[in-house]
Formats: sequence, C-alpha cells, structure tokens
Amino acid sequence: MGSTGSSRFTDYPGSNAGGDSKDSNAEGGSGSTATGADSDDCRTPIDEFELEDVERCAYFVAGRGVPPAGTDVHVRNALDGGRLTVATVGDDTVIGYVPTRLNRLWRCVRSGYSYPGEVTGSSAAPLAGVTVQLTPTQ
Amino acid sequence: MSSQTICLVGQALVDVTLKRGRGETKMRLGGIAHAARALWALGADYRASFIAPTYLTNDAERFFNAHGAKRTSQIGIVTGAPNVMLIEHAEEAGPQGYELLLRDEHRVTLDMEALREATNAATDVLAFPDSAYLKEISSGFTEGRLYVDADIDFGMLNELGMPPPEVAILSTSSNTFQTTYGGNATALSDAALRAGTKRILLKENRGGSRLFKDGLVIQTPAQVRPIVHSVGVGDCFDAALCVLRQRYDDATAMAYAASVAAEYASTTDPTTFKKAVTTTMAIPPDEIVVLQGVSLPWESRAQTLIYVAAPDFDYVDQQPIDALADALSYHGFSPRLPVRENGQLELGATNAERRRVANADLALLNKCSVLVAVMLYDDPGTLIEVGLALERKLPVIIFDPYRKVRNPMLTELATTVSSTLDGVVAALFEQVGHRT
Repeated sequence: MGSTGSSRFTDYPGSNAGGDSKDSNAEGGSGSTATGADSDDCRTPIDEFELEDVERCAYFVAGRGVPPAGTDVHVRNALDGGRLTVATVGDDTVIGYVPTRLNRLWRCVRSGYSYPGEVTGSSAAPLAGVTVQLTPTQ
Repeated sequence: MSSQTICLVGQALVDVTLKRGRGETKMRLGGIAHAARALWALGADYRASFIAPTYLTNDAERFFNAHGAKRTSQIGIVTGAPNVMLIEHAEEAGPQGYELLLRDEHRVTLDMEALREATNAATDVLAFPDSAYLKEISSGFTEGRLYVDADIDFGMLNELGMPPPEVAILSTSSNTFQTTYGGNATALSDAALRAGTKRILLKENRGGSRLFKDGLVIQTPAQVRPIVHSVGVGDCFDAALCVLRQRYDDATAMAYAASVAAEYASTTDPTTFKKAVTTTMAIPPDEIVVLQGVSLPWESRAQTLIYVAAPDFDYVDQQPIDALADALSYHGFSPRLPVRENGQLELGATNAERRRVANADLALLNKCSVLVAVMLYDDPGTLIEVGLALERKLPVIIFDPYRKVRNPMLTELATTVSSTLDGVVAALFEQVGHRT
C-alpha cells in the first residue's frame, strides 16, 4: 500500500508556502487574506457587509432614513466609543458601525490606509439596514 | 525604557493538522514555536531554550534562528515519543482532537546546566512547562520575571519551592480550570494569588481574557473574527503580553496581545502575520485599549440557554447536530435539544401526544435566549421555530452545513448564516458576549 507524506516544514518567513488563506466560507465582509511573501491584507477590498446599529446613528436619527445605493461612504478616521464607523463622504455623517469582526481595518487605517466605498443596498423599514463595500487606498 | 531579554522555555513539537475533505495536511513546528513567532513578529530580544527529541534538534535550531532568536539552546531531550501532535480540528469551534503520539511513553531528560545558562541574564522567562518536570524547570529560575503557562494546580507552587510567577497563565479549556477549580475563575485566582503568584491570567478563548491581581480584575475583550486555526493562539497572547508589559500597563498590554493573537489565528503564513502585527502596533495605546470586542466570561456562558432547532430525528444523519451541540458545550454554553429532551413522535402518535410535545418545545423555546437552527433540509418544524424566535426578537443563527439556504426570509432576517461551526461559534460569541 502506498503512502503520502508531509515532506518538510514550510512556514518560514518568505517561504511563500504552506500558509492558509482565509476560509472562503467566511461570513461576508471578512475579505480574504493574501498569502505569500510581503502580503498585506490591508490592501484587500472588503466585500459587501451590513452596517450595525443603523437606527441609532446620526444619519437615521436626523430623519434622513437610510442612504440610497450608490452613496459614497468612507471609514471615519476616529473611533466612536471604541467602534469603527462608516459615514457619508459629503458631510461626514455617521451611517452605521462596522462589525467588530472587521476591527483589523483599524490597524490599516492607522498605518495610512483609507477605506472609501459605496452603499450597495439599503432599506428603511420595517428593518433599517445598509450594506456597503469598501476599497482600500493608500 | 530598560532593555528586555526574554528566555522562552518549553518543548518543540511537530504540529500536524490532518487534512479534511480536499484540504491538505499542514505540518509545522509547534510547542514554543508559536510563542516564538509572536516574539519574532514583535521584534523582541529573546532566547529559545527548547526540549525536543534529537531528530528535531537541527530543525528546531534552524526555526528559532530564522525567527529572530538571539540564542538557541537545547535544554532537554525527549525520548520514547516523537513529539508529534495530531490535530483533528484546527479552528477550535469545538474540541480540537489533540493527539500527542505515544503520550504515555514521553520522557524528558533536562540538562540543568544548559537551562541555568539559558535563563541567566534574562529579564523575563516565558515558560510552558509540563507538570511532570515543572519542579526541575522551576529550580533553574533564579532571576527575572517569570511567566508560566501550564496546566497545573497553582496551589502547589509553594510545595515546589518555585519563585512566585509574575504572571501565571491558564486557559478555560485546561484540565486544571475545568476539574481542579470546577470552572470557577474566582477559586482559581484565589488559589494562585494565595500561593504568591502576583497575577493570574485566565484566557477565555473567544470570550476574552481576565487578569486577576491585588483584588482587581482587568477584563480584555477578544477580537473575534472568522479564523483559519486556533493552534498556539493562546501562546502568542502570552508572548505578546510578556513583551508589551515592559512598555505598557496591564490593560493596554492585554489589549494589544488580544489583537496579536487574533492575527495569529487568521493566517499560518509568517510573513502575513508579521506584517499584521507591525500594523497592529501602529494603533496608539489609547485607542487599542478602548477598541471594542467580545467579552464573555466562562461562568456566564452556562446561563445562556441555546435552543437548537433541527430535524433531530433518528432517521436523519444527526452528525451536524451532534457536532454543533459538542461545540456549544465545549465553549461552556447550554445547548437545549428539544427532540432529545421532549421526545421524538412516533408515526401515528395521538393528538394528545402531539400536543404535549408541541407545548414542551414551546416552553423550552421560552426559556432560551438564542436559537441556532441546523438546516439539513426544509424541515417545517425547524422553520416554524425560526419564525417564532425572530418574532420574539431572539438572535437567530443558521448553521447551513450543506449550503442549501437560499430563502431571503432566512438569509436576511437571521443574524448569521454560516456553513461552518467556526462561523456559528463566532456569531454566537458576538451575539451573546457584551461588547466592551
């Protein structure tokens, strides 16, 4: 009977082998982690994800409802109560909170990346919801 | 800031993550190699003092030298076992199925002179000793701050004549926490502090961590996200804490350590990890310490009753339901399985019997604060229970192992739909844990 084997250790710096990418099955918005030498997950676009607590954020509270699809947005350059927020580009009004599973974006922001994007979908009632996608720039 | 030299002490293992499905078998150096990766990523000045079978000596030396160790020495030899750890489930969605080959034949012979030489002049010693040779290891420590991560009864430290650790470290999955202290963090910390330990760190997986000292408890949230693996993630937390307490207060060091650990769980590529750690350290301390995450102390989880809605019938393949229940129990939650608790109706059951079961299931649902539905197929009972839970504003998490869920009432109204146990567990911690 034949056999297979794991022939060597592969995870050395710069070996560019053996690293696992993010589970492709991960929930929306997790993006994916590139592997290999000099990979930088801050450069990875963030797939569509849903903002949290939209109904208690400034945009909704001001009676503006939810922004329509196509609205330009960005990740704000300041934490709000320890949370990352997404706001409109024009008047910097907060639309919603970024899920904490995407907190890694904060280290990218503090390393010089910006995360502009757009609203990909929204609904005001019966449940207020806003989905966005983001594309990093540096 | 005074200079810091860390001596890292413990075994070098070979971690073999067994392939699942069409994945590949993953083999890499484990044991203290995990902590070494974090020390390397943080640019720490450290020495590696490892214990291993002789066949691993060259590989271990090469590994530590490639990962920034200023000095590498073998302080003990393992005989009788190859120091190979088989890992069935890398993500720790539930029990990971660790299997140390030839565990009962495993013997360690320490080179005490090499140990003393290795720890000499270290400002901090980060040790991962086994209880079998804890006494011998401890006698080698004479100077410096001692960090000990070990599955041992800290009440016995005095008996060993061991210097009180600066930080004693344990995880909620350890046998000591679960058995000796009955899953009670207060009992654990009291015993450790009575024994002279200055601080006790309890790592609570995706529920964060708590540091007990001088009557104070510092709680740090976990940075929960979908992960690639959880092997050695806690060791990375230890290493980061050891490095960063030199620069920051306990709360800040713990907050950075939580983020470093989360990054380690997100990749097995060392270059990606190091880059992530470098950018993590770009977050100012006043921001990292307030960055929200998930805090869910172990003791509070048992109070979380989780209604498992599923076609949990004996004529259905119940493996995904069993796996979910095991995972929930592993993390300290209380899964409630209505069919198993209230019975499976036979064909031809009477109206009275049907009513009894329906009422019992509804009564159980009323007690629960979360519903997890296992969607094996379009089972009407499961779908009705999902609807009832949504109407009651309960968090609803859908476990969709066969990726069959398409209906928008499920995909859009449920909190989360995930085809993996890891995704379900992460969502549960996010929903139940309070953000701090």
